[in-house]
Amino acid sequence: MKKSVAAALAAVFIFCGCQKKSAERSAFFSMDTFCTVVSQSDTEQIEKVINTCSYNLDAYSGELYSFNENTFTKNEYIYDITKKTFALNDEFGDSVDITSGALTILWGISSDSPAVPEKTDISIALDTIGRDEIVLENDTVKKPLSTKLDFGAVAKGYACDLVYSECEKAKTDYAIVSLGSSSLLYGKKQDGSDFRIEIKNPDGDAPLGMITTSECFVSTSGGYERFFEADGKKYCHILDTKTGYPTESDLVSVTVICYGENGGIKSDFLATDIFLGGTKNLKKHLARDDYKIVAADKNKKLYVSSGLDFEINRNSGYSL
Amino acid sequence: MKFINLRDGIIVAVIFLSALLFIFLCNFSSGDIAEISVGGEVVKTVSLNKDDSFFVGNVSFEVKDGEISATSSPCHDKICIKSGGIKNVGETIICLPERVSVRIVGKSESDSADIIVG
Repeated sequence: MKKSVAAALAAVFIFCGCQKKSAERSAFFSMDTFCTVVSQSDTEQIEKVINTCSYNLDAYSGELYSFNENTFTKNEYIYDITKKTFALNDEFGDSVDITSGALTILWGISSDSPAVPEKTDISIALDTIGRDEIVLENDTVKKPLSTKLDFGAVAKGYACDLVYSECEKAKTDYAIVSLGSSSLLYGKKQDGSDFRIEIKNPDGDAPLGMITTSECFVSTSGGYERFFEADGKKYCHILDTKTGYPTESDLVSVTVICYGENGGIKSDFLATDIFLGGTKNLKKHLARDDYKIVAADKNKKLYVSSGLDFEINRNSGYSL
Repeated sequence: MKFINLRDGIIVAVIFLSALLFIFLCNFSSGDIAEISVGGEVVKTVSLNKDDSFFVGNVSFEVKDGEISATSSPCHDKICIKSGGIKNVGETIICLPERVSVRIVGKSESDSADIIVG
């Protein structure tokens, strides 16, 4: 009798042991957004990586804030992200401009009281913008006092790259890290299935569709969530650094998938770059092999890279 | 003496079946649940099967017809309210200025998305 109860208990323990070890989940505010980490390994270390990145690159406090009130820095995060963004500028052009901080502050679209600035103030801000204002030498970043850096278009993706390195180092099996507009889907899920990424509908409840993919970085850009209205006109939060005004892109949502090392900053950069470029510049992006996109325009048309496993949701109101 | 007699066999079976039932109930409990967090810490859990309305911090919520939505918030951009009602596992409502977030949990998550973007 005792023996059989022991045997039964053993069976139960063995059976329970076969159950999946449930992944750890943590949620917190960092990088100016709501972050979630789901991982089989320690989520605390990943959280630490993101918080450190946030401390160094947040425009409103910490290291970047100090640098913007100054003319040089030896901060390695600022140096590295500046260098990497400039490399992306070399490849894709300068629509995404990290020197546009003065313009971002002027519009204050994420602030409590956004308003359309005076034309003269916009031209003063535009004068501070340009890659040639920045000098990178011997691990030092130099700039004029009036030029303000803003890594809003690349920092979240860059943080995903840092998390990727951490996962590689820690030999993590699997992690899903979301920093709002940029995410990392790392490794392989326990059941061996691919990752599934649902894309929100810019103007409805039914999602646009589902991407099925192996390990990747994914970033999105869209003007439909953060904007403000003045005199009956909608101003989105993505600024066109050529005109000094919010972009009037004919795209409403852009999702970019990149693979491998440094894919985070690249996907983040491209999401904004492609959004700013509008439908007329989509063709060259759709033809690329090294990244995949799903873009939606104002006429409810979807553009999807060939070779991307994307299943459109027929109830979304959008069509290919 | 036999290694396991009938009575022992029944005990083994009962324990084993209860264990199965327990695991089944843990994994497949029906009914969606919304977790409401402040600053990433879960402060309230509500069932979507029962209509309700309540405040978390300065944000008011309503549960109606199996969905939860934010109905008022002092934040300026009102993204949380524009999110509308949510009901599917993994969907979120986030109010950045108030640091309040809602996430739908519960049910088997096998065919839901790993992440929702856009």
